[in-house]
Amino acid sequence: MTVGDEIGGRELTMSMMTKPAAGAARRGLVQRWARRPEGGVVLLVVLVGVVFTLLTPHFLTGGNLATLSLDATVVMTLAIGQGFVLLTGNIDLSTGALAAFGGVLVAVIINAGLPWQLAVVLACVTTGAAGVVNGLVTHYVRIPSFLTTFGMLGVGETLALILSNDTSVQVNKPAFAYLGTQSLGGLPIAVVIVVLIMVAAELILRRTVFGFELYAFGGNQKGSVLSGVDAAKVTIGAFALSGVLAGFGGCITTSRLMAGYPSSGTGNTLFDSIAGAVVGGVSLFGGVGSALGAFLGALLIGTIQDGMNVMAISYSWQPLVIGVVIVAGVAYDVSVRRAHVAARIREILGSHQRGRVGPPGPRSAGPPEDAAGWGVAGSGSHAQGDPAGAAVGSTGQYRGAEREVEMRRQGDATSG
Amino acid sequence: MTTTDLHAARHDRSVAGEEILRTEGITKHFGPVVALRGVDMHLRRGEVLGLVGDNGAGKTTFVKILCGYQRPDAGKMFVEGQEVHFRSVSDSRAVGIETVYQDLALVPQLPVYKNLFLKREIVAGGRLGFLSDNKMRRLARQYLGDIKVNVPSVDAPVERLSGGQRQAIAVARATRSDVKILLLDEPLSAMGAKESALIIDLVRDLSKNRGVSIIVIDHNYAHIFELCDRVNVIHQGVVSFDKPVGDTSLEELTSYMVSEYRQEIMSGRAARQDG
Repeated sequence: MTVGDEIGGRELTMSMMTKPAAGAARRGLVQRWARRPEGGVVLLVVLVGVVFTLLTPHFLTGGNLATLSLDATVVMTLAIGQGFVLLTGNIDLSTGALAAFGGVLVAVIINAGLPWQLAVVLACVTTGAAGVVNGLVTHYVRIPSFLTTFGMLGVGETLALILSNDTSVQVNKPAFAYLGTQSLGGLPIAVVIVVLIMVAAELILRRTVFGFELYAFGGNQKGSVLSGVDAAKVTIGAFALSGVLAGFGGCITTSRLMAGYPSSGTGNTLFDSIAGAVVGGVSLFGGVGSALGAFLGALLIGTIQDGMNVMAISYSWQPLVIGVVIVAGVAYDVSVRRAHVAARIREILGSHQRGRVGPPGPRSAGPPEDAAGWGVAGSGSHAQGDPAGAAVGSTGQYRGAEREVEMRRQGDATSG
Repeated sequence: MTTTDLHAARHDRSVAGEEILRTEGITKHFGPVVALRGVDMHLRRGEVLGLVGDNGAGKTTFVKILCGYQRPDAGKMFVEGQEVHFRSVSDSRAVGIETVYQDLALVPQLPVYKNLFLKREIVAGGRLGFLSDNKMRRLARQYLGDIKVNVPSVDAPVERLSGGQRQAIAVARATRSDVKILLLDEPLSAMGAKESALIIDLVRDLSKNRGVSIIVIDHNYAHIFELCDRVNVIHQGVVSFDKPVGDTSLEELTSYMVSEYRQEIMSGRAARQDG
């Protein structure tokens, strides 16, 4: 979407609000970004970064920033894939397991003598196929994706264990380290690739028919199907992309460690990927969000984790810190949401009486806080030992309020 | 157009307009439940046909069959004289039948222009090219202007529009393409007087000026009399009443429905007593 058409779309609203048109385009663009959840996450990343910079001199160094971004690449990759699935209103619990499987698989294929580039492609295609199975079962058997992908989680973990004989698989071709350890003009290769993936994902979502239908399907499943959207194509496509990206995340891990660990993608990785996407403004209910948001959300989680490591906060204390932040965040989030719902109801009533459309609410404050609350709820859940249950429980409770907030957020995200 | 003109126009068309849709003996069962037991119906070009009936009378099922969402157990359908068999909604769309569902099937979070172009996306450079947002915006503005639908901006998310505007967008989407037959499910439900006027004008414009044939399903007989040229009552799975609105009245229709309803209750009682 170019600046040109942004302005085109803006004109009508502007003239409606009888604001002076001069310079409106530029300001409109900035305002819109500030309102978008992505803008909020950028702000949070900067804020968290500033806090850590003030707390320790070791945070804001070239070396640490490279480590931070490199550490975050795997979660970023998975979060972008997760974003596609979440947009359709589904969830992919198998990303972590497929990352582990892909990581082991790429090591095995390289050791079998194939060029590492081909090995990466084959590993990603294989995990992509697992994603296709996720999509097929979810769509045709009509099993909630929560269960389908939970099954695939088990399959992926087991395949990784069987393939690796329950130990790590050392990669015997040094060239493979290129992917995870080399830099390009100071930027780690893996980070550059993940940024490219994000840009490609964003292009798919914003500028292609498939992306358009993904949003339409996630926003109104029944309605979009009645309009002719092919639910199978959208669902299977999203899971396939998530599978491919999970496999690629596994390849990055294996390249960094030069060994495929069957346990590398299990545990926190999955929940960090969901949390990353959701922090970045991707709705758990579908139809809202962006690849950029998922990317930034993962960056935020990576920043917090890296900052705690740099500050040498004992690993045993880290879950507690996250836990406290969750409760504080959710408490704040709930109160903000209540205010939002109230404001929304007033808006609806107001617009009915005055025939007003799209009244300016106290929106600018909304999305970042929402995002923060979500993030903590999601990222913290793994600290409680029962990640799936915790994540679902904490989000399910205020589903109604969430809807309202999502609708508002969606409005902001799409009006641009 | 004055009221007399309108009636004259209706009369003209009911004589002149050629038949665009005909169904013969459409039946549909859901397990042991008989929803339709042989619906014979016809529709002329540019005609607005009202379809009324109680809950469970089968009108929704009938419409779902017309739009290809469900398949009939038996019976025939003809569009412009050609027999048609719909296997999916796209099949019915291919011959020019569009449906506006009661819940509108809009995507609330997406802007007006994207809703208008859902499944009719304009892409630059072939099927795999990128969406032409600018072109879609421009055409959306142009088309909404043509059919005199006012929205604040084609970039406004549909959820920010009023009920009437949403309904108008849904109708606009359905009629944007080369539509011959438009199915409207309760287009005036939950709408104020002003909003209703918007939709009534839109329906009239489509049928009179664009020759679109329209079937309106509604519970509310007053709506039917405002919108339609002819009314059909579906009762217990068959069309049991068929008159131009000029030849009937709200009173006649109401008393007809009440008597049918009484009969049903009586026969129900009789059946129970027999059992």
